[in-house]
Amino acid sequence: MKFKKLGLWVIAAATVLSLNALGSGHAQAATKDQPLKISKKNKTVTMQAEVNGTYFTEPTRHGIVYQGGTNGEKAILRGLTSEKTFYKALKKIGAKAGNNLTAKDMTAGAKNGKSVKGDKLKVTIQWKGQKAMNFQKIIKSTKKYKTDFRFGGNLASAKKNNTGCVLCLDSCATGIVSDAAWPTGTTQNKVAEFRGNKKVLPKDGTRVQVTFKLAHKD
Amino acid sequence: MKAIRIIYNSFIWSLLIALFCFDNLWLQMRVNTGYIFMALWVVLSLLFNLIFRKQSFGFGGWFSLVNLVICVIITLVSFGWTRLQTVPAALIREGLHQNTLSFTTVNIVLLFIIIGGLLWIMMAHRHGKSYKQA
Repeated sequence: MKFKKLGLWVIAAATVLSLNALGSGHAQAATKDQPLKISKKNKTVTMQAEVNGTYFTEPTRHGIVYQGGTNGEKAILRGLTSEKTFYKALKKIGAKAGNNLTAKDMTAGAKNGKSVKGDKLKVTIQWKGQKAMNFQKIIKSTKKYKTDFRFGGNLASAKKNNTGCVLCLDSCATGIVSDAAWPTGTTQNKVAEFRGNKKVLPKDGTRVQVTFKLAHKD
Repeated sequence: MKAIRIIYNSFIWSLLIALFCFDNLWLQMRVNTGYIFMALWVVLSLLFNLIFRKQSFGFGGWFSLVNLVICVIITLVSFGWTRLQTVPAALIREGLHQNTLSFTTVNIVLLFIIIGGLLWIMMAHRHGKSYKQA
């Protein structure tokens, strides 16, 4: 009888492991980090990312998160380069970080939030068969707005928390880049909700390229 | 067979609870809800095995069927059909760290476990009855 029970537990474990094995072949390639494309001349940094179809229906405050971070599966796009490497790349093109937000600012209410500071960045996205378009087009929001992406910096917080946050959809004390159009406290107080725009974005798992251009150096 | 019924029903409840955890934005943005599902599945299975250790009862075939129907209705009402095609698969692939698995693949495996498990339990239930009658 004990052997029978043991067998049943083995079946349960095998189910989990077989699901793991189904994905492992692809996971090898997917977990490999991709290098950034940096152009000092054009003041641009281009990052490889993958579409996460989860957020076509679910709300999130994360635009891009590095796949190796603790929030790697919580964003519309799964970044394939570490947020720390991305920070250094933005520094290389001459971008200045705001570093004006603290963890305390993240507990703000709906009306007393702070906006991120730092150099303004123009963010565009493209993929195979699709010309570069404004990043805003891939975001579906419950309220109309115009993105204002800033180089928040926050390297110390990124190192401390290891969330992997590359681009947050509202002002953030950890994300390397975040949106000054929405102050801290926007998503936790449900002032606005953000999702991936299924009508615009390609299917789940598709590789995309996101370009960050230093706006004031035009 | 009792252990299978316990594991099966624990699986259904764990998935339902994990789905509601995923639905909570605060929790979803901070915790790997796939871990919640897996931990709950193990804990509930062990707990019910312990509770029903010395009893012949332990979630019968009809109980499992009614439980599944109720849980499916709750999830359909709470999440809707569109979200239901993504959310369970998303939380499972996150828990397994297999983000390249397609939602379709995970959904097929889930359906296989849910329907296959129930059929297995129901057939064993009928077989047990006819065995007793004979």
